[in-house]
Amino acid sequence: MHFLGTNSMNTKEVERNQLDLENEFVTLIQRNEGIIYKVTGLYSNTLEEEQDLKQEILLQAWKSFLRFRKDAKFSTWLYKLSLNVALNQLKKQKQKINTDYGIIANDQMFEKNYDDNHELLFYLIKQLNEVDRMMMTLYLEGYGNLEIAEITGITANNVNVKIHRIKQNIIQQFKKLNHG
Amino acid sequence: MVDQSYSNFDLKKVWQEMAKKKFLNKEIEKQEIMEALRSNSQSTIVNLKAGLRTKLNWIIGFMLFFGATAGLDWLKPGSDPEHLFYFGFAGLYLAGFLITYRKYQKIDVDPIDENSILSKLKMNRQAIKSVLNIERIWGMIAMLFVFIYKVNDWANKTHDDPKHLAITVSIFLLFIVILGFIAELANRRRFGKQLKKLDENIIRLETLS
Repeated sequence: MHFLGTNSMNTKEVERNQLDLENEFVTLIQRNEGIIYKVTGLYSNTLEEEQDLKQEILLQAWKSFLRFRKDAKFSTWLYKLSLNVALNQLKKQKQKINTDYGIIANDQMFEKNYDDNHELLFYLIKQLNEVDRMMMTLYLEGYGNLEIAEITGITANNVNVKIHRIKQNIIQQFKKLNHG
Repeated sequence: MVDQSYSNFDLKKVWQEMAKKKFLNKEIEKQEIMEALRSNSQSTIVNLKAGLRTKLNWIIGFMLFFGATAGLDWLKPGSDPEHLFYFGFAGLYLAGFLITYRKYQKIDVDPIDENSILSKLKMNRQAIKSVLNIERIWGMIAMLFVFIYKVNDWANKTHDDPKHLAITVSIFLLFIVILGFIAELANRRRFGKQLKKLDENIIRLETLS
């Protein structure tokens, strides 16, 4: 451990740098807060879960912030971190990570009246299994297959095939829900 | 009314519009972010202090046990002065408790403010490691105490049988070494990860310089 022996002058400098780092972190988070809200909205069922997940993402992001390479895109880094935290949170809650393909339609979906495509799309994405949800979110956010593959750990080929199938599935669900 | 035509359905466009609408008024306040940052270090220290509190409770327990045993033995008519041994042990535990408690009190779990993060973390780490060191030293002193007492006991009773002394002392020393080893393992299990986390936080702050 190389931490012994800092004198009080260095400590003050360190604490000033610490404050600079915190301010930088806060600014970046606030600039990309939409990412955190999207992930927490997609991976939580209650307001309490959403709040817990948001706190956990902020905490993990801070812990990893020193390792963040400034040449990389912060938004991509934050997305990867947030999605991993969400999946880990599900595992901790002892929820089985569902990898069954496709949207799990339920009665609620058919009873609900959707005012527009926006709300319906969000709901349909949320019905996907956890891994597909991650892929589709990144796809809809504009990430390419290679980037999605890097973030999710799935091969680019598989990403391409899955996204195509999920898109078709979503459109079918739109048709089914709106035409009965 | 939901759009009936799906031939040119642009999911990405719908998603972007959804995100703008749904999350337009949602903001993460700076306070919220800072609370998450603070909770990282604070929870580590709180957990460590809780572990030390348990340790102190055990010390009190042993102190009372040996004290009570000494008292009962002393009150027994015509008994050997074993109570001196137990009183001695109770005294050792009392001394251990007093020294440990002073260090324990120094650990500060009040919310960390912006101006003293590093120095506070270091101070807390020092206090916690002191307590664990005191426990090790205390263990060695206790071992010495038992050794001296047993030798003295042997000298007074069975001084014509050195084998008996050798066996008794060997068993006691072995027992205490094993106890010490178990205590070290228990400390590592209970405190190891948390101390490592605390050290990492300190290193994180220091590498900023």
